Amino acid sequence: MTDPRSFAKPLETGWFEDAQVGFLAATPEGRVLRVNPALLAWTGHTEETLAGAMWTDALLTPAGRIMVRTHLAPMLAAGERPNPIFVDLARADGGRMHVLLTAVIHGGPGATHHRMTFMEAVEREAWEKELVDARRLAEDSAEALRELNLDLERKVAGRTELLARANRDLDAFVRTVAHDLRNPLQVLQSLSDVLAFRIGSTLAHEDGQILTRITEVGSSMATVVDALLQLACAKEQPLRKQWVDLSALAGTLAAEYQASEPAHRVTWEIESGLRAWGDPGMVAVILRNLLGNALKYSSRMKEARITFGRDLKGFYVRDNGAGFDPGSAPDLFEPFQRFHDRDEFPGQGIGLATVKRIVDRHGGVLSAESAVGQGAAFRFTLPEPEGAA
Amino acid sequence: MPAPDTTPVQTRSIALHHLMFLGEAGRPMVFCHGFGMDQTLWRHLAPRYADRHRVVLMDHVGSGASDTAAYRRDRYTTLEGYIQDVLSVLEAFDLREVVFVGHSVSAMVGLEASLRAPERFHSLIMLGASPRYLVDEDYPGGLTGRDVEDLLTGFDLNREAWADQMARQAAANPGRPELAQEVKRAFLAAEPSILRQFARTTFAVDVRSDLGACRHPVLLLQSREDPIVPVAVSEYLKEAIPGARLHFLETSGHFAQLSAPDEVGQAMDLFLDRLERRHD
Repeated sequence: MTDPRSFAKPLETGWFEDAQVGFLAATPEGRVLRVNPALLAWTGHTEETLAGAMWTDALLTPAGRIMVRTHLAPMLAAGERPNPIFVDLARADGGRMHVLLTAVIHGGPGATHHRMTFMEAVEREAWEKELVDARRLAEDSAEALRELNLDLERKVAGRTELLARANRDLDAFVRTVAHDLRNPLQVLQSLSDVLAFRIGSTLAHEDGQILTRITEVGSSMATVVDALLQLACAKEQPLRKQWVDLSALAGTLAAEYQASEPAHRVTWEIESGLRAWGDPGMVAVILRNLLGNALKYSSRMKEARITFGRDLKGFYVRDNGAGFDPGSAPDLFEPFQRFHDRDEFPGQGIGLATVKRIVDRHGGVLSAESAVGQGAAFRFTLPEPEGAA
Repeated sequence: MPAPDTTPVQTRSIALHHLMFLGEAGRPMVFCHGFGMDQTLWRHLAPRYADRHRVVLMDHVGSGASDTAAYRRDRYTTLEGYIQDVLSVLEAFDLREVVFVGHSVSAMVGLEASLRAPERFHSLIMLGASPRYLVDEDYPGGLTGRDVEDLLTGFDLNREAWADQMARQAAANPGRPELAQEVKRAFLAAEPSILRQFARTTFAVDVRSDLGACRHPVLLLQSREDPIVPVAVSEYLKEAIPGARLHFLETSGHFAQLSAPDEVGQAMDLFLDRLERRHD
């Protein structure tokens, strides 16, 4: 065994000369003080040509020089230790060599100099290039995508605004038309009433029927106009929410309907104690439409049964009437959708659209379930205020 | 700070460029950074003008604390987008007879803007300016196309080192290292694609043919041994811009406003005092 201590002396010297790593010492201004043989061999320079030269000028490519001058030098000047950077050495023969450059400050006040270490990174260069290319592609794609997304968001917002404006215009139009139709219609109705009163009894049977028909058509037109007004207003009117006693409201409406059509025998089942948070006028429109529909579509039943209650899914109005095929009415809640013949069950197809608007505005959900001949159930929710029991 | 009766256009402009205002009154002075930097570049220089000037600091869109969501590559593939941005800021705050201080590529942004709206400018101070970075026939620009590609690769390979340097120069208070870390994180999180495009836009600049049209007083401030701007380019600018004054600084490097703010400030004061006296 050789005594390790016998290596002590030789171990202390020769590193600078032997290392297969480039060493360079320079003044804080960048003038070359000393270069090791490895760096000279790599670059093809001699100690004579480098002595006193600016090392960044003599040993780096223009790009490397800029990197060092703008990134490394300011850190060293501030007394900090910069991160290593990858640069190209410029060889005397015009070639270049990819290296990892580390720089540190050495020595105390007055005798400070900078020590640079260059490590060969030639093999790295090829895959670095690939890495850089791939990363650029990814980053540029991400940037293009980012811009596209932002533009798309802006476009969607613009279109949504346009659509909302078009809808508002349409509502205003419907409101105006309905309003303008209402007055002449009322005049027409009054005049035909007056006519019936004055000469109704003197008319021949057929003429009397014409007059009756005029009165009927006028009254059905008035219903359409009122429904249209309600539809347009359901969106515009401000909501004044409060607790509404739904059970009492349903009871009143049931009694009203029963009185208007005493021949139609209906069993009403109304759950007691139901209340909802909403605009009283609009909530009444919901119930009036849903109970009215239930009554209408169960009118052919011998034992009509209409239920108003509440379960886990919300409020519901159920009847045992004609029902409908849900598949044939995907736009059930759109205006002017009908899924029965007008002759079979009269109506304008505006009621459910109005109900849908009101429920939407209250932040609730409206849904329907049915099958032909199986009756129908309409469900709606009206969210309660935060913290309500 | 801007007055409380800020208009929507002003509010947008402030957010877009992260505008900072120093000083209340006096001739407006707009400071504009170049590639890879932001307005913190001016922290040693701009505050000393707040007692005499209304100082405005801005970040280019896609740099610093600007509203990056407003960046669209199409707009910034040439200097045009940056020029329009500067003019928009001047218009938004109705700044007239502005002393425009531009570093690096923004020196040319200022020059082009002054040609579009001469009434808004008083004078141009250009630090480390170059009308074209690439060599051309009979023009000693300094860099070749290969150099620029090398440089872009260098930026990509050494992003960490770049971020460190940014952080160091941005941190106003050496006693608060967390500030530097914050800047570094922000820089690394920035859209590298935007930075790369800014570099490409910068190195593609060639406004040599517009220099002769400049009618404003110009001060060229140039460090010794600027790695990006050769002395010959500064001499070229001095010859090409009518009446331009060229002052070589004792400091070296591309960021004289950081390495020698006093020297830069003195040269600027001398230039501005002389101009004001001429007007008296």
